[in-house]
Amino acid sequence: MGKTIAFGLISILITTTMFAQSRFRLTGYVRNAQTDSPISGATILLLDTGLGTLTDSTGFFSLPLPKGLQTVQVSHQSFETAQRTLTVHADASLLFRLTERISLLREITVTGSQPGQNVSSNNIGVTNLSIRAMKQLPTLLGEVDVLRTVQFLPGVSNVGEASTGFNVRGGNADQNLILVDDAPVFNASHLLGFISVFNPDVVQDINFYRGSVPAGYGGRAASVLQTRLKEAKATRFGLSGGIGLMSSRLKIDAPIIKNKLALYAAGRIAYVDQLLNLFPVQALTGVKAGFTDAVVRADYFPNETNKISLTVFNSNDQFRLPGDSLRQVELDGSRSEFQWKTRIVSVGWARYLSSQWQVQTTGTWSRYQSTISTPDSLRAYQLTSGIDYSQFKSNFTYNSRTGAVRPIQAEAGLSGMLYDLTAGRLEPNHPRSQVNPVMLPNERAIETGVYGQADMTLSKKASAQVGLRYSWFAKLGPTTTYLYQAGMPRSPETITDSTLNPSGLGQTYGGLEPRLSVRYALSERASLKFGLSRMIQYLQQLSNTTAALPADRWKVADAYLKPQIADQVSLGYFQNVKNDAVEFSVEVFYKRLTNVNDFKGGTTLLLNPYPETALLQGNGFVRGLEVYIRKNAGLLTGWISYTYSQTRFQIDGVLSQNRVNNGTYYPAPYDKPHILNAILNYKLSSHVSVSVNGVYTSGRPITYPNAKIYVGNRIVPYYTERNQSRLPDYIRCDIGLIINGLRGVNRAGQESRFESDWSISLYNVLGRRNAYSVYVQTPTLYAEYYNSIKAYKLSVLGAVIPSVSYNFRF
Amino acid sequence: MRSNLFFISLSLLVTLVSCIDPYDPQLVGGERYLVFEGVLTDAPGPYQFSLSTSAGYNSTESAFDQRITGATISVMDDIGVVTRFMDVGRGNYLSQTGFRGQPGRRYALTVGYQGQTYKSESELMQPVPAIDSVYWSY
Repeated sequence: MGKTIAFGLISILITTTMFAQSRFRLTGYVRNAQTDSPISGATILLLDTGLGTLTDSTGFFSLPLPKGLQTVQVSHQSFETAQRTLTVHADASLLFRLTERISLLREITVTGSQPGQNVSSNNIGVTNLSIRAMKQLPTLLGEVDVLRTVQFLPGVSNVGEASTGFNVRGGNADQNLILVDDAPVFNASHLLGFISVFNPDVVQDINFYRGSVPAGYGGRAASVLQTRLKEAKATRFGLSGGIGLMSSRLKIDAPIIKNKLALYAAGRIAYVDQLLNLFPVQALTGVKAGFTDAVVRADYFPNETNKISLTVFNSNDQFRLPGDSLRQVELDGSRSEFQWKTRIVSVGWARYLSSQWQVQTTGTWSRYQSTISTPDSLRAYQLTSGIDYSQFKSNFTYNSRTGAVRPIQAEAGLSGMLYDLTAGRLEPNHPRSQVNPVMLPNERAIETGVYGQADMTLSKKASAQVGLRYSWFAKLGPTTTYLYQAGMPRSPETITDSTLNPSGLGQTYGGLEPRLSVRYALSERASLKFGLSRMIQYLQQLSNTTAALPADRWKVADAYLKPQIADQVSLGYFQNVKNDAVEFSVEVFYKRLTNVNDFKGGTTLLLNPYPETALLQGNGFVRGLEVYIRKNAGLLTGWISYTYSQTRFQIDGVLSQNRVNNGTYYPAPYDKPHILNAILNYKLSSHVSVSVNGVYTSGRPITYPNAKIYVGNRIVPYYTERNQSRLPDYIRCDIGLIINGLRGVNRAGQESRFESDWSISLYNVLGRRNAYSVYVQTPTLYAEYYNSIKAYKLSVLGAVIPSVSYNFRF
Repeated sequence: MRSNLFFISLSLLVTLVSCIDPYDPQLVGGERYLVFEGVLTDAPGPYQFSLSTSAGYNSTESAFDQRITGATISVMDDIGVVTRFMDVGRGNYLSQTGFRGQPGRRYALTVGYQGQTYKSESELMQPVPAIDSVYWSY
C-alpha cells in the first residue's frame, strides 16, 4: 500500500485548440496515484494569482487562468501536494496523480497548506472523511468503524450503546439514507449495533450530508451517508488483513487483465460465540453471536472513456439467546434466534461523453431480511420480515467549457425505485407447534425522482448550488384499505368496511424538493453559507422502541401513513486559521417536521394488520447550534464538536385519544440537548500515536410513572405525560495506541512490502455504567405494597473494554 | 502472552453481558388521582364498582388502603335512564338489583366526590357477535 510509486506523478494529456485571448481555461482530473480513484475536494491553486477551485466527486476541476507562465498546486489533506509549472497559451487539460500522505504523517510533523474546503465549497452541513483519517481514531474492539466515526460529528447522536441507528439533527433513525456504492443499506449494523457492516479494508471515504443534501439524493428526511468503496485497480496481487479479538478479516487484490480489469474480495468473520463458550459463566450459557460479511468488487476499464464496476455485498448476523433469558416474554423454547442479512448487487457504468459531459448509470438491488425464531416447544415459530429494493439511476454531469466567466457545474438525472416489503410472516416451524400462522400482506410501491442541480459562481464573492428534485410515489396493488367509523378513534373495533384495490396504482404522493445553498466569501479564509432544503420520505420504519431493532417493520406510505417531510433552513460561518491547519465552523439550523410518527399507548406494531390503529402522526420542529473545531496538521490532530438542539413533537388529533400529552409539544424520544464529542490524536513518535475520544451527552427522555394505582387486584404504575424526565447523562472516554511496525529491509536493500501495525485500545476507560434505560418494576405481592418502588438501570457496555488487533498488508 | 489474552477476553465477555443496577430516579410524584374501577356488561347484576386514590410511586403508602367512601356514582344511558349506585363502604358501590347493561345502548358514568363531578364519554355496549362455527385443528 505505502509503496512509493513516484511522488506526485503528473502528466499532461491534451492541449486543445488555441484561442487568441489572454484568459484560458484549465480543466482536468485529480486521481489517487495508487488506486487511480478520483479525489474529490482537492484544492487547485494558481500560486501566482491566488485563484483556486476544488475538485468535484469525479475528481474533475475547471478554472480560468491567465496567459503566461503559471504554477498550479494541487493539495488535499490526505495526499502529497503536487506542483506543476506550465506556459499557458491555450486551454489546457491536466491529470494529477497524488500519492497518499500517510507514510509522511507517521514520520514527521506536517505543516503546510490545507485545502480549506469547508470554507470554499458551496455545501453546508457536509463532512468528508477518508478511511485513513478514521484509522487514526480509537476503536471499539479493535475495529475501525464508519458509523462510530460518524457519531462523533456535530449534529449526530444515538440513543445508547448497541443501538442500530443514529439520529441526525433531530431526525429519527430511519431518516438516514446509508448508501454503499449507491445501494441503500437498511440495517448497517452487526451484533445489534456494536459495529457497522462496512469493512474498513474496502472503504475509500464517506460523504455525510446533514444540511444541504445534493438533489441527486432523496427518499430520506434527515441525512445521507454515502460510503464509497475503493476501486479495484490492483496492478499486482496483494493481501491484507487483520486479526482482532472479536473478528478477523482478509482482503485479496487481484489484477485480471492488466490496466483493464481488476477485482478484490474482502471478508470478515466474527467468532464471538467461540469466545463465549470458553467461559463457564451461567449467564452466558447458550448465548451465541457472530457475523460474516463479504464484498467483491470488480472494475473494468475497456477504454479511456468507459468504466464499468460491479459490487456484490453480503452480510449475515446471528444472535442467539438461551430460552430462560426470554421468560419475561413468556416463551418456553430452548432458545431464541435473531438473524438478519443484507445482500446487495450494484452495477455502475460511467461514460465520458466529452470533456464537458459525463453520464453515470447504475442499477442496484438490495435485500434486507430479518428473522426471529424459536426452534422447539409448543410455541416454536419463525417471524420473517424484510425489504427488497431495486433501483435504476442515470446521472448526467456537465462542466462548462473553457473561458466561461462564470463557470457552471451541473448535474441532472432520474431514478426509479421498486420496493417489495415483507411486512411480517409468522409461521410455526415445528410439527408440534401450536402457533397460528399470521401472514401480513406484502407491500409493493414505486418511487421515482427527477432532479437537476447546478453549482454556479455568481460573483467574485458569491457562489451557489441550486437544485430541485421532484419525487413521486405510488403504492402498487393489491392493497386493502380499511375504513373506520367517523368520529371514533381508529381501532380494529371501529372498522366499518374495507376496499380492495386488486392491481394498479394505489395511494400516490409526490412533491417538489428544493435544495439550495449559497456561499458568500468574507475573506479568503472565511465564508458565510446559507442552506435551504426539503426532503420527503415515503418509506418508514415503524418502531415503538426508542432504539431501532433489526426486526423493526418497514412500511411504505399508504392512505393513512403519510410521507414524512423535513424542511430545513441553516446558516453557517466557516473560518480557517493558521494556514488552514485549523478549521472552525458554527452552524445554526431550524427544521420543520411534518407527519412525524409516534405510537399510541397500549398498542402493538409487530404483526399488527391495522398499523394505522397503533400510530399517530403529527408535526414537530428541531432547532440547534453546532460548533466544530478541527485540527488537521501537527502532532496533535482531531476535532471537537458540540451540538445544542431541541427536538419537539406535537401530536394534536381532533379526538382526545389521538393526542399525545394533550396536544402540547413534547421532547422526541431521542432528543438530547447537549452533545459534546472530542477525538484527539497525538503522535508520540514516527511509529507510535495515542488517541483519545471523549463523549458527553444529555440523557434521552424517559417516561416515569406519576403514581401507582390499585386496579384489577394488583398495583399498576400510572403514566400521564410522555417523555417528561431524562436518563442520567452519558459520559465516556476511550484511549487507543497505534504502533506501526518498522518495515523490514530485504537483501537488495529495498524496503520489504510487508507492513504491519498493532492497535490497542481501552473503550470506556472510566468504566462508567452509562444508563441505556431505566425501568421500574411493580411488586405484585401484597406485602410489597408498602415498599417503595424499585427502579433499575440497564447498562449495555458498563465496564472497561480492552482490545488488541493486529493488521498487516503486503 | 497467553494469560494476557485470556484476561482481555474475559473482560470483553463481562461487558457483553449487560449489567443491571438498582437506580433511584428520584420520582416525586404524589398527586392524588381518583381511581375508578368497574365493569358493566349485559350479565345479570349487581355490579360492584370501586373508588380509590392513587399513591405516589415512590412513597411507602399503600394504594390498596386509599378507599373512597361518600362519593356518588351513577350510570346514564342514551335514553336518559339514570341508575344510582349505593355506597356499601370500603370504597365499594353496588348497583340496584335488576339493572343490567343492554347491548346497543350507550352508557356514560358520572362520579361526584367532594364537590367535583367527573363524567365519562358515552360508550356503546357492543353486541356479542354470533358464533357461527367452532373448530379445532391439529
